[in-house]
Amino acid sequence: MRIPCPFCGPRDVSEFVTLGEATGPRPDPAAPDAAEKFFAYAYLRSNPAGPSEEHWYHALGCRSWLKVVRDTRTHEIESAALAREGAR
Amino acid sequence: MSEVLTFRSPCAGALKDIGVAATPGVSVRERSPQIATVIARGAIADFAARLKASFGVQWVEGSKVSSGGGLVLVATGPRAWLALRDAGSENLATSLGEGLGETAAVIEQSSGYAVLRIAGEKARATFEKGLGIDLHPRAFAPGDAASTSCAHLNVVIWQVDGAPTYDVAVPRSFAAAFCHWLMESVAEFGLKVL
Repeated sequence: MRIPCPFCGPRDVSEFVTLGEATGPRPDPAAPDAAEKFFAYAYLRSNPAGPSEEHWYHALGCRSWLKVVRDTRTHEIESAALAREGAR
Repeated sequence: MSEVLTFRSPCAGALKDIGVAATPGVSVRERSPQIATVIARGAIADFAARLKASFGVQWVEGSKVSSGGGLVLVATGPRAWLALRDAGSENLATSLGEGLGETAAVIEQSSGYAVLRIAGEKARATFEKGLGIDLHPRAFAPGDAASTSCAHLNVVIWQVDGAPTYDVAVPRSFAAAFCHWLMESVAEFGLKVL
């Protein structure tokens, strides 16, 4: 599998580290419902059979966090963008 | 009591001529430039303007080399560069820090990397044994740079000219391992240590 890094170009998956599904920003620990929010943030995944938004880190390249849309059935990559340029 | 620390090459004893009787396909020379890491702060346009004004270097966007007046900036990330300049009387990190001001953070790295200049008609064929990137001239040309891994070692590589000549920067503590890989990979082509 190759990931098209927006800075480096297409690179082998061995250069990347995956964080898994992009679950959004870390919840506010001071909020009254923090326990529920953190449970969802840490454990609940939608695990789709199809396009999945994921965070990948280009550890052996430009050391950027990427937001990658990958089809979990075919490993086809729809898009890859620097995470800082979009919603986390 | 003062102690004098003498410079020791990170590649000392690791590179040797191979098959010098025939024409070697690859040559290697260890460079000893001053090195600094440069990370942009704030707007990239401000950084580019200061770079142009202070050093006469036109910034090139992307995974590229920006150079001028003996100063070379090799892109290692969207907002990070490895800066190199041949050793002179002026300290590179100091002059970059003064010239770029608030637009960048500069960190002295001169002893952090081994820099090798690898050239020759078989240089591309040699690197193809270790790198996972496309080195064909239509994909990687003079002025292009890549941060990647070579035989599982972190490297920053950039092409200097079409000979082809490549410069490669390897973290100092991996230099011996990189030289070992190079000696094994270049054996069939022959190597001349310059």
